[in-house]
Amino acid sequence: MDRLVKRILPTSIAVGTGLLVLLGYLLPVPPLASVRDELIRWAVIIAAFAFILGFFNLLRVHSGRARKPGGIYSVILILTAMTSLVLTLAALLIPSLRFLGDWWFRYVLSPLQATVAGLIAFVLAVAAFRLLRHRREAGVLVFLVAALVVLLGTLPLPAPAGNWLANLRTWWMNVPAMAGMRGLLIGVGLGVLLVGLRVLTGSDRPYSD
Amino acid sequence: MIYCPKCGTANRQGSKFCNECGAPLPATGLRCPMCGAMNPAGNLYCDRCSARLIPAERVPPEEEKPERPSPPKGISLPSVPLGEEEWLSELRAEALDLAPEEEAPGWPGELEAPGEPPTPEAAIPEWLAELEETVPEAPPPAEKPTPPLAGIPVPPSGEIPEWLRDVEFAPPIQEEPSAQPPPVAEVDVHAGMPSASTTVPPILIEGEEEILSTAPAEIPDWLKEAPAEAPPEYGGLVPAEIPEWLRPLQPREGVAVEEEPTETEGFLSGLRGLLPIGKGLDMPATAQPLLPRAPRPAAVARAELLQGLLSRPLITPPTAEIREAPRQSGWVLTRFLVGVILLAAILLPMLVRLPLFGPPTAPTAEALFATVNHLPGNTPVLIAWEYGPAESDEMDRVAGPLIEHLLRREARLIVVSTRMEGPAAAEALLASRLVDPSERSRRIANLGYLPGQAAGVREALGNLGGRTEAMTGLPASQLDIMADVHSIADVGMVVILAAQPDDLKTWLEQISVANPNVPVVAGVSARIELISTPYLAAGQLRGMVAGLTGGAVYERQLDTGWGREYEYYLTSIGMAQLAIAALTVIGALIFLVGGRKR
Repeated sequence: MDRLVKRILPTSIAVGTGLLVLLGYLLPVPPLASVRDELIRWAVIIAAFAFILGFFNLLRVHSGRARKPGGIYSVILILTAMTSLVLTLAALLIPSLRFLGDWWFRYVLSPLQATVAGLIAFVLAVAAFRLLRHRREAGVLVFLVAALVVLLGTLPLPAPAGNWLANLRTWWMNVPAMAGMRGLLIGVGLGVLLVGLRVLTGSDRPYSD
Repeated sequence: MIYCPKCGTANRQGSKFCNECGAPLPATGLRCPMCGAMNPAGNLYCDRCSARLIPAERVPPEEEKPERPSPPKGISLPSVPLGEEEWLSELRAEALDLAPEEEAPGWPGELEAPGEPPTPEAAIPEWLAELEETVPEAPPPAEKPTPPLAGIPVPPSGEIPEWLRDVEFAPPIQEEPSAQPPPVAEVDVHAGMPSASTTVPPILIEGEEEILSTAPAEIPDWLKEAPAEAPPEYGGLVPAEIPEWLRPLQPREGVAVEEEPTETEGFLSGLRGLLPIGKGLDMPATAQPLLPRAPRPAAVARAELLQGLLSRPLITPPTAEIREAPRQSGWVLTRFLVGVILLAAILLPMLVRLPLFGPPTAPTAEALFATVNHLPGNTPVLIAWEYGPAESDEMDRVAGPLIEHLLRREARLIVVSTRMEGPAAAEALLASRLVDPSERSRRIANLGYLPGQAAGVREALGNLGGRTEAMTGLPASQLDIMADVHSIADVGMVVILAAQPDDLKTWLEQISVANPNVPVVAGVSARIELISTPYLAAGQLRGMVAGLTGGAVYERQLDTGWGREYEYYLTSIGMAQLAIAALTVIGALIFLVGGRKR
């Protein structure tokens, strides 16, 4: 019974649903297309409920951590999450209160997220400064030269150094970097195809333990 | 007990399956050949069907036979002792009362020598009389087969079958006349009954005395050739000839058999014929002493040191002050200097106008501007708003001029997002770029968040008219700008505003399946410009604005009046890039000259 519930049933549903959606794309048959669209609609609804579930699970986990030492961050997280929820629900239910949600988003969430994102520049600068502190390999030197070329080549520096750097950056971006990126994209595409086939055949079961 | 071979649980003798784990238990008894039931060892008859378990040729010897009386022929008794039925006990008691031990039944008397007066019929109990009828009477002497002897008159030829006429009569057996012949038979009617065993005197056939007293007849020739007397030790059997290869095993007379020693100790005590302990068998041939005879000097020194340490008196060590590890002041200073340099590089262009950089160039942005510029008026444009507040500082400068250009072209903007903060971020930028807020409902429809990642995108592309406007809560079908827009097939252009590579890929993949003919353009962050370029080269993207530089170029093309802001941003970012490049070079030189730290 345990095996039926945990493995056989989820695998059957996943494989059957995946095959129906795939056949709906491959075969131009109206019934299959309608079944495909209906299954996709179900997936969207399930994903929406998964977000709600994840929100309450986050509150549950951090309510437990809030009682432990260093739980002040969990308390802040719970308060901000509940504030966002209340303001959003209020804006939906009472349109006249929508300005509260806009204010919260513009003057709290946006500056905080932008600040955290801005720290990335500082961290990258420190990492670039210490690049050769621990490793002195050929790959590190190539990375160092490429980073300098791209950084300086992006800048609209005055000619002739600016033009020379811009051309070097353009070549670097269009030839070696593009080749590597295309290889990455092809590899990712093949990997996605392989993962899809494994899920369809039941070899991979990310939906069960 | 039968121990389960799987779990080791002790089960009752005769069990077929383990009481603990249900595993089949090994059969230790006898399997009935008729019904297949298992019977305990020693059973002669099956407990279930009473069939015989051991062949008749293999009847156990006399001492192993059960003490119970053997059943009559054709009847098998179960091995399980049966309790005596009540009716049988009463019947037995009645019989004992009616037939005391001194009164022997009359029917055995008939087996005694003739001439004695028979016991009166009234003395026989009724049950015994019935039993008497079932017991066959002793055969009459006349019916006893007698060997054909010489001198006996041959019966008339009419009574002898024709095939017997030519048969020669058997030779006479020379037999000494015995005054007391052996008993003919012993009858044991039932155990527990009054002793009925009676020694029956020999019954002589009429005229036999005359026959026995007759002189011996002549022995035929074929009988004379036989040995006069069989060897007594073989019971009348002629010994077979032992083959040649068996003769060495034949015990020899006069050679004393040496008795094998008996083990007297250990768990094998009492057994004979064990292998004696021979030299070299009791210990390995290459046995080495476990320890050297003399300890090594180093080991002695260590032992003495340890002994000395242990013999010292205990001294409480002084409490050592735990000092914090010295901070890496150089590392802190490095981070501080990097932070100060970056901050100065970013803020300085806002304070002082630095003519360091020339006008930015972005050919892809110029191409996109041309594409949008040729867009027909009132065209529905689907905008995938895939960035949030964290990326809005850069992406707002990328998306702003593009959105304003679309609004100028009288395009109808339909906004969706797979990120939860996307609709709010879109609303903030749209409000800043829309000249007349009263025209919002006529120009913009924010259809909100699409859950489900790729599935949500696929579902939205096929059902745009079925969604709800996020700001007003009205169904999209009731909006004027959505009157003729039901799916991706009704859209004139798609604009993807993405700060992450996965968002761009998701939208491109789903649009290429839903409607590959719709033109798609993108505004992306500088971070994913490299990943977006292959799509642009492959034609999946008709145009692209990448990063702040692309936004500045588009802004310059559009001439919206936001040029001063872009100049600040570009100069600040350029100075920061220069600072980072300089720090990278300085750091590389320092660590190349100063050596590598571990």
